[in-house]
Amino acid sequence: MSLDEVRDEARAFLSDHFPKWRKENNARGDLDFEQQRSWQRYLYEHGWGVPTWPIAYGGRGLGMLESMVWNAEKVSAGAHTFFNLVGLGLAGPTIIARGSDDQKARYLPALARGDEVWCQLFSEPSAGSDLGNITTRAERIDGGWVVNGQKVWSSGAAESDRGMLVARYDTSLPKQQGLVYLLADMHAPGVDVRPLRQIDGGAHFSEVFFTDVQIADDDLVGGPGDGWSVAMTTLTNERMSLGGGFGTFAMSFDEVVDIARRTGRIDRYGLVDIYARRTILDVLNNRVQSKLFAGQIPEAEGSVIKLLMAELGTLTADVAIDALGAGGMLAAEAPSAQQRFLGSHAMHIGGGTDEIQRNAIAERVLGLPREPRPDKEVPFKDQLRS
Amino acid sequence: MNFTYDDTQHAIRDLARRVFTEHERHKELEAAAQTFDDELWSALGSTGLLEVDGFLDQCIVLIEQGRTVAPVALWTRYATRRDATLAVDGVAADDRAPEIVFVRDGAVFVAPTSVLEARRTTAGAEYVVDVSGGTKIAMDPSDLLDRAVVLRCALGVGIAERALEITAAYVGERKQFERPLGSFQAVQQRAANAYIDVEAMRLTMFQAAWRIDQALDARREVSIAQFWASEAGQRIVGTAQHLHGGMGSDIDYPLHRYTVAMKEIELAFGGSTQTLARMGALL
Repeated sequence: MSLDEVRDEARAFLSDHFPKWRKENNARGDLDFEQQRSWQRYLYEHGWGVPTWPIAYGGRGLGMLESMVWNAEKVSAGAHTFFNLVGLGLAGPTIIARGSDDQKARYLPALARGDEVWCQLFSEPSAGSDLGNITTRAERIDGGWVVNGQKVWSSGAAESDRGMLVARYDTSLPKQQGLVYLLADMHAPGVDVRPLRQIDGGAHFSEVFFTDVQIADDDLVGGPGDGWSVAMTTLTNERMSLGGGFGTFAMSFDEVVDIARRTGRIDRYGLVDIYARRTILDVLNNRVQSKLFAGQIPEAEGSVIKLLMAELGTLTADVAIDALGAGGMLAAEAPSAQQRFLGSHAMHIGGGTDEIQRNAIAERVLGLPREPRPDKEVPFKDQLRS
Repeated sequence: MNFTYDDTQHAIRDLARRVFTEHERHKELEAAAQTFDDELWSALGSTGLLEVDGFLDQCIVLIEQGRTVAPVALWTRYATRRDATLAVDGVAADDRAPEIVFVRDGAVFVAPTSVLEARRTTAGAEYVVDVSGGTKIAMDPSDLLDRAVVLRCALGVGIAERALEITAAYVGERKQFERPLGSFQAVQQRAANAYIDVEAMRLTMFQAAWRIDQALDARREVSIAQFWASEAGQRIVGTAQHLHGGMGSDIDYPLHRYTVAMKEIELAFGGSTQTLARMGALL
């Protein structure tokens, strides 16, 4: 299928079906969570729910460039949502790449249909940038595992049915080796989800506590000791889903220009800076996609894109708030600019901090020597921990 | 020339620090939906801090207030020299005072606070004003505004200084890769840049405050102080947020109050683009 054919088909499908679906479901304005779920199900039933997945799992087997075209059409039709981004963009591809046939059969259909929402259970209070420092324990029992510990910064955990969980099963191995990757049932006894109230007013993240939670061997991805490498598969997909052509999380350029025109506080330099950075990001995104198309893995570009996106988000919110002047303090004046400003710090942290991204560029692109890592080969139980 | 506090100023600083620190109770106030700390206001009254007259001394008190982001409208009292609140650019600080002071047609007016239309901000303590009436009073509007800007800059110095202290303590304790975060050069250099910004804010603020105190023309110095408070202030709280990782976005942790308060310091008199335009006109 040529890109033009994908574009034509996508455009025809969306212009026909999305307005019809809206009308039938009485869905006006921004879609709420259940409406997003229902739209996902509709897409799935019409063959567009998970276009990049293999045909055997309800997908279309679309390549990266083709899926970019689909995404762009979805965005321009107003039919794009971030529904279950973690499940559809991270859990699904991880299970497809690393899961057993039984896991694929049990989880992929419910994911694609929008029936089950997933979260990521990686970060812990003492394992953020240093993900290998995980202390949540998975103890071997007959036929499975018993999990105890605490996870934090889990996006969407409060709404989730299942989670991708990384836990430590053997403390006598070095930090990255003694890990298991488990598929957890968030409704199981012993799972306690506590939302965290954030600076931008939302409660997007949660702390998740595990107390004697039993997980069967059927839900182990790969073997014991594969936890780190399966987690890396998930993180690679996370980086790609951030640069998947959905645009940025920043306010649109037009929104900022509108505010500036309305208030008359026109910071030309700032606006041009935003415009130029957006153009650079678009070009970079295209370059990544063409690399993927040629079968290459664009690791460093992912870091560059993430850094630029974080900077663009901060810059855009700053210019917008500045244009609002004293009125920028008022929540009612422009909720969009206010929330983006308060949330803009998060883009520099989540999904790998700016410093982690710069380290990756320094080491992988420039070939600079890696920082000494004395902890890497030491058994986890012998390490000093805070 | 002397760049240090004298004995009296040390005494004022110590007293103010004690009063503000003893009354640091944000969670309690927030739970009771109180946007103004009445107990603190009484304590400022009983210790004489409401009656501080010297302009430099007022700035010293406000640095201490900024350190705890205490919710009382002390700067409006200092700037207006009455129990009033000051409205600038259509936004007023709190509605506790019996009257509101505002500048229109090159003169200063007062009106009852009943003209305030309550519209909450993120910090919950500012209100939009629609003023058409009012009584003209004898006060020089440019002197009033210069004082207000510099007092807000002093608050900003305290906010910045404390946000950086909290951050330095955090990265000193928080360990990743078996090391305190603060031992990574990327973290150290960013924190050191923030320190330089704090000191630049302090010096530009005191330069403007001293000229006002000496009744010298301070227009340029006021704009410079405001520009630094706007730009450097944002860099400092941005660094503080960033070096806290996810922790800084959790409102159970105190840092978000410093970030929001610093944004208000920047915006209350119109944002950094407007400040630069004003400064350009003076040059």
